Amino acid sequence: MKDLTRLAIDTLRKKGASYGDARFVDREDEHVVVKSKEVDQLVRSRSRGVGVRAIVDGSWGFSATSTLTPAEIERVAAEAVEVARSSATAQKERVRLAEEPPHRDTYHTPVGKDPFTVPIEQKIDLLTKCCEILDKDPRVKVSEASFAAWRTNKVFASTEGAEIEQTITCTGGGYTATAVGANDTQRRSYPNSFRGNYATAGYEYFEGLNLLDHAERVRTEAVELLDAPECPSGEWDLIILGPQLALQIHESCGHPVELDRVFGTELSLAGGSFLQPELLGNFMYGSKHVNITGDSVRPGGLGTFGYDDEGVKATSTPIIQEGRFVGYLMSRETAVKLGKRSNAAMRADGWNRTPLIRMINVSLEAGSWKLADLIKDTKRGLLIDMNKSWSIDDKRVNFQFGCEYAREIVDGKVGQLYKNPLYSGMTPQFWGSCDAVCDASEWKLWGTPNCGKGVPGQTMYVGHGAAPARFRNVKVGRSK
Amino acid sequence: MRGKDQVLNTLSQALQDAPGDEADLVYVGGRSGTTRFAHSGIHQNTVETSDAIFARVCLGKRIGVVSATSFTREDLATALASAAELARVTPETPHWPGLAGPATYGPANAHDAATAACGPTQRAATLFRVFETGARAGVEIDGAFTTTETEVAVANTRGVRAWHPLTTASIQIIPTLPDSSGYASASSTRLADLAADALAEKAIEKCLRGKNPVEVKPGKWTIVLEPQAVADLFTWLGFTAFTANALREGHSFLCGRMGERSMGEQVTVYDDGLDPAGIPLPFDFEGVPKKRVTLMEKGVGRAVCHDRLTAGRDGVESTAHATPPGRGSEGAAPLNLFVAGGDSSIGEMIASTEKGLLITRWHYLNGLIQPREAVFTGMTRDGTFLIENGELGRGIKNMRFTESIVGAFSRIQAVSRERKLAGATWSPFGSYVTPALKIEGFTFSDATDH
Repeated sequence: MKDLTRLAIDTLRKKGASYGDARFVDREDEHVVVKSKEVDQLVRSRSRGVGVRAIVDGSWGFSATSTLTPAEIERVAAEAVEVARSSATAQKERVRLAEEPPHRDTYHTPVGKDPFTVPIEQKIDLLTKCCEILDKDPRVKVSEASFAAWRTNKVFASTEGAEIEQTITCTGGGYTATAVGANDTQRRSYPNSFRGNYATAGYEYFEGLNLLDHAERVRTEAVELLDAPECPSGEWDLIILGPQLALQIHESCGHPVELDRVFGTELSLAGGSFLQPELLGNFMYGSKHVNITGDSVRPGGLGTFGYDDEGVKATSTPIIQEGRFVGYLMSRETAVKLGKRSNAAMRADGWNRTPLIRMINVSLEAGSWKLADLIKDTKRGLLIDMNKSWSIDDKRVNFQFGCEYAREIVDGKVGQLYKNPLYSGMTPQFWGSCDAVCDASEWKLWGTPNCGKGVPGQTMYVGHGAAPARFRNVKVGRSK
Repeated sequence: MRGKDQVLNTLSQALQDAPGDEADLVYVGGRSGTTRFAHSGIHQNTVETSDAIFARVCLGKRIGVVSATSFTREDLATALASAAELARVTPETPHWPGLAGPATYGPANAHDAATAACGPTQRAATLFRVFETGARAGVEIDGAFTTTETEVAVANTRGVRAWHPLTTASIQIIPTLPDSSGYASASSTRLADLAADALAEKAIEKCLRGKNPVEVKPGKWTIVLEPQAVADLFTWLGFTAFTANALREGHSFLCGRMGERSMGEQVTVYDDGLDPAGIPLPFDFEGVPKKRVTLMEKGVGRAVCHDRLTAGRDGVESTAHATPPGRGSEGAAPLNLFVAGGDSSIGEMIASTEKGLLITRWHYLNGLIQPREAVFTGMTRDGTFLIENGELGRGIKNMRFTESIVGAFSRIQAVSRERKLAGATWSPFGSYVTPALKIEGFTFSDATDH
């Protein structure tokens, strides 16, 4: 791996790049899906290649290849330089990069059990047992249990002298029970919707999910939802549990603080951000109970690594402090525009994609409440769990989320089950209505394995820590 | 390009020694380049040269799949051997019908030499003109411009030998002002069809018209959806309604309604990989020949998409909608989707509307709120305008809709004759050819501040 990246760097220098970097990426994946007790997917994949970036005449070029020969690497590095030259013919402003010392280091995700050496039969057996429990009620039309692991070995090298070797391992899984009635379909998931929860960890993380222990509850709740009434519309106090709150953080905080989005370079796909630079340090994003951090160092986070994909060392950055907006997720190119250094948020989905600013672990820090006490303290509200649908506007202001499950709280007691809870709001008003966050005992790291961004499209796995929290007077329901 | 002979010969040689009872290999390779721009400057310019292979081995009804990014004979052999190892340890898939047999394929001309030859320099030159047009109008231009050349091949131990070259070109142009934006896009197998300069003019006109947008109240509105907005809706419907899984697992609005009218008779939807108006692909990723599949006919559900796995499970024939191996039953979805045109035009729709909205495109659609009724949500974006007394008026601040698309498509008042091709955002091979629609009583549930 290092020979090829060094060859790319040598070529970049010879061809006149003022800056260049090369990433050799070798990623292995394993996906096992059992659906209604039958193996539905069993795939191992491997994707290897080299991606090279170059700055020439103040503009970027990128070229990538899956052919791993010295001649091809030289060609690709030279092509990156030529692509940069063509960019310069329609340049708006010259690229500058914030300072970063050229690190020479290694990093490996701490792994207890290599997920790729655990026998496939063992995984299939566990997932099948989950489906057997989920399928026990004939109204559960489909049960789906999944396991996934991916391991990325990569080498990063730059014309500044950086050379970093990393191995990042991710493991996780989960299941869903889909109950079907005459005119309705409902589902419940564990531990998270859309194929489960994930961490930078080994197979021990998947074992720690204790999938079998929750399957009866998930089945029962999926079936109960068929007969439950629709969630009433109106203004409600919401206690939002971890999995859904993680996605709320993702959409309404993580994305708008991506500084490339702020500077308008993502308009061709997912839009911009309302958090413009003049608001940094001056804007109350939320209430004083809201503290949000962006980090790539928290053990087990899907956004945890040693160095990002432009060689910046992992770090931790306050994003929201007691409600005040104080930080962005940055690259070297965007950070310098604010007079800052990068905080290691550049990540690429493989060798064939140029790094973009992505979320790392963006987390709501724990508060001081116990969940049981928060429920008791709520006169009239809804306890909301597990995401089902999500949508937010192009500047990350107006959002709407649908969830799997809601229970009414009346005078501090959890009662009536409702289906299809749907809530919406405007980001600053919503976070401004947060008046309580549960404590560290209720706090957990959740993983979103499939965040999309960029053209051509990239998928990234990101982490979100959250404890349940309460939000006042939130609009629930849809106009009909 | 490697070319037909090299690709099929390499696959055939690898399959000669394939382990197991049956095996297939899928190859997808080529070059693609994307030039992204913001504030009328190129900020990201990428080129990729790649090979991807998918190897599937069947030991009876035990199936293993391996994918890799190398096209050497040795690596193909390794992939097949690894797939066989996986197949050995997996239980049977009882309804697996086996691989497809050899077939002949319909004509599908999708390769254009000029598109294949287009590189970063040519894309930059086109964009330079677009930026100059924007500068004259006082707007900045954002967007993306992509050209690709790809070869797709499928071969199996039953004798399937399928190879198809294609090129694509697509451009999105988004002019911006501090309080407004516009949008125009084009996709084709031929670069010459994009007409970037004309697109820029159209998008800039929207941006300028949208200055100083007004707020309007959410509620029920008559809307005119431009073809892109219709394509956006069908991107979701393709997955939530028209797949074998969505029907079988109780998610599709067609559940319990197949063969019955569930929406207006103006709605006819079909998938056709051979139609030159789309991005043609003459076979699916199992080598099954493409043909026209009618999904909805005059508002009546007729069919869903199958691959061989779901077809075997449901006791029907594959409709040739397999994706590359490994997606299990998740894979079969419309790839070349067409919505039939009508007898109107956008101009006629506007002229006939006393009070309504013109929608250019949607942002962040989600079709999972209540899939059985196709309840969707999404935001307007990049050009949403009042229509008053038959005239197109000023721009409005963006709004959110939450609406049953089944209900909405039951209230269609007009369908345009003209249809437009939009490339799929989720696959390099996918496309939507859609008309404009006029719909009454469309529910906007909320509004945003810009």
